[in-house]
Formats: sequence, structure tokens, C-alpha cells
Amino acid sequence: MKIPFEFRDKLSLANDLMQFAAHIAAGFGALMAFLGLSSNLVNNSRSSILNVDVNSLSLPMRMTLLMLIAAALGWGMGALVAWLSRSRNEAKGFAAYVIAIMWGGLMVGAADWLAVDPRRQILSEIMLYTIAGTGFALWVAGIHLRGARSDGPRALRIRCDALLFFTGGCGLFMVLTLLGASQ
Amino acid sequence: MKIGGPLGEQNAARLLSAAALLDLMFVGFLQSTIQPTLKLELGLRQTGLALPAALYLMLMLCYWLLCEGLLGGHSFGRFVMRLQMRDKQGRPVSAVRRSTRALKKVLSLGLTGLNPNAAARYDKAAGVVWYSPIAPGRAKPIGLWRLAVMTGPDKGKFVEFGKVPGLKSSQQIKIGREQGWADLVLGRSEKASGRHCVLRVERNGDLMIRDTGTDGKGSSNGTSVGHKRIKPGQWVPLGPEGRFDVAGTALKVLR
Repeated sequence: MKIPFEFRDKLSLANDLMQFAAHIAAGFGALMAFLGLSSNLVNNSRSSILNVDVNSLSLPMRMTLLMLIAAALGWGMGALVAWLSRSRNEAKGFAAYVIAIMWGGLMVGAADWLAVDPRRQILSEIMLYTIAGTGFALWVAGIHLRGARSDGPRALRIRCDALLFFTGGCGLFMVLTLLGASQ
Repeated sequence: MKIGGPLGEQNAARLLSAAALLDLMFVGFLQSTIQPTLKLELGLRQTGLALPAALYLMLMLCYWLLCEGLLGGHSFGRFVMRLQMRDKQGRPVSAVRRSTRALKKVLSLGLTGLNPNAAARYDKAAGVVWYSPIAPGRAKPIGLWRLAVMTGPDKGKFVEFGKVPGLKSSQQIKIGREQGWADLVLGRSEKASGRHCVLRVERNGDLMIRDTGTDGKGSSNGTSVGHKRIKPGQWVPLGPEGRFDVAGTALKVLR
């Protein structure tokens, strides 16, 4: 069945609106992940704004929080990488790689924030959260990139590289965090 | 799950490397979970690096055998990347071909799969192609593409490339108000010139546009690509979206 042109335009507008909402959600998610890093850094301070106590939360609650953050990070990364890779500007392509690595840091930061004290852990929670979060973020980023797949071979190459950099960044930051925790 | 389109060698190698990294992390998590219990069961106090390394290698081998042998090439990493193993025609890979690939992978210890710049030798030998939803699907033949009017009074009009007379030899589609000259006639768009612009279709599918005008010095109200008015008489490449404006009327190539 052919879709009438008027309806296609409406679909396009609805898509733009949804993307706008998704970008705001992504920004919020990135902020939450940043809060994760900050909260971890200021855990011993008396700050009541950034110091969110996650140690009292149950594992399912923390997993839910992680999934929300991972979804927002994945969506945000997908949107940014899709937009940056569309440009013919080399600098923007490079920025996509930098963002992917930074997003990896935010993902591990969020995992570290949600993990309880290593002495109280039965499972290696940092690893569990990083792997689950990275997997989910990649899945969500894939949904976004799937919608922008007709942007040419250069865009596709940058996107594949960015996904590799994100996974590599997550792995690297996870190893560094685990090494830091074992000190 | 949508399988999308085939990935080139390099792109597939990058995504497979990312999936492999995730799998390595997953096996690392399994190892760190099992190790304390194993240490307790074996009654070991100091293990050094021997036990973790041996356990990791053993788990990696089991995981690999499970994924390649029993799950038909699926793994956690490939699942989240939505990577699908297919043959060159895009059909699911037969059990015989999968077994051949797994055997070749064993013989090479999977080492050729570590190169993120080229396809693994066992994939090439088995004729395996990786599909991903982020890759564009197989494109329609150029003859089935359409040039459609998206806005303005002529909205809804279109011309199918295969039905444009002489397209194969001239590679050009003419756009304007003049009946008999234009292949896509914008009869109701008053701002469009009689002979407004020409779209060129390269043999590889690339598209170029040139603003001509009736006297060859450019149209009165211009042609724009990406909201920038193009200079008359110059061929300008169209982006992958295939969108351009003819005197304020949006046109798009639907592939």
C-alpha cells in the first residue's frame, strides 16, 4: 500500500518531534550519568544535592536505574553519532569517536556509582552493571542508527568505528575502575 | 528482528571486534563470579595468577564452543549488535557451511578474526557475510527510483526513472514547467522556470543537479541544495538524502 505524500509529511513531523523529545531525554540521561560520577566523587562530602545514596537501594532498583541511564546514554550517543557522521567535515567525524569514548566513561561512571561497597558485593557489581549497561546502550543506539541508515558509506564507517570505540572505552574504563577499587 | 543490509568487510570487522570485546568482558564477569567459589571448594589460599588465567581460558573455550557450535554463531555481543550471519545471497547460513567456518576458526585459533580492518579468513573461506540493521538494505535498481514533488501545488507528482525517455544514454532528467521539454512537469508551480534544472544520474547511483533556466543562464527563482542556492550552469552533487528545492518547491529522489 502506498502512503500518501501528505501523510508522509505528517509522519516526518511526528518523527522530528519524537527526536526532539528523545534528545532532551538523552541530555537528561547524560546528566544523570554525570551525577553518577559526581556523586561517587563527593560521596564523603556533606553535599546534599549530588550525594544520592544508592547503597540503600535494592539490586532490582539499581538495575532499573542503570537501564534508564543506559537507555538515555545509548539514545544520546546514537543521535549524536548519527548527526556528526552525516557531516562531510572531518572534525565532526573525529568528534563522534571522542564522544563515543566519553560515553564509555559515563557508562562505567554510572556503573561505579550504582555498585555497592566492594566488600559487600557477592557478584562483581561494577562488571555486571558495565556489561549490562553497555549491551543495553548499544542496543538502543542501534535503534537510532537503524533509522538513519541511508546516509552513505562514510557515515556507516564512522558509526561502526564509534560503536567500537564506545565498547573499547567501556572496557578500558572498567579495567581502570576495577584496578582502582582493588588498591 | 530486521536483518538490515550487508556490511562491508571493514565495517563488519569493526562491529565484530566490538561484539568480541563485549563477549570478553562477559566471560571476565563469569570468571570473577565463579573464582571465589572454586577457590573455596579446592581449599586454596594463595592462587597467584595461575587459577584466574586458567579459569578464564577454560570459560572462554566453553563460551566459544557454545556460541559457534550450538547457537549457530550467536553470542551476547553479536546479539546486542544485532549482527546476523548470512550467505552472499542474504539467506541463513546452512549447518554445513557453519560447521566448515567453525572448523577453520579452530584451526586458525580464531586469530585472523582479531584484525579490525579486514574480514576473518574463515569468514571469507566459508562465504559468510555479516548483516546489520544499521547498514542500508540492498538498493532498488536505478530504473525503479522515483523523483517526487514533496511540497507546493504540484505535490504528489512523480516520475519513475525507468520511464524517462533516453535516460540510459543521456543520464539526465529535466525538470521545469515546459511540456515537451521537461520529464517532470511542474505545471502548477508558477515560480518554476520553463526549463528550470536538470538532474544527472551517474551509473553508480550518484546524483548531480544543475540549474539551467530557459536561456541557459540560470532559472529566475533558483535551485537550492541544503538551503543554499546553487550557481547556474554548475553541476552540484546531491547528498544521500536526494533532496533539493526548485523555486521553493521541495523535490526528493525516492530510492
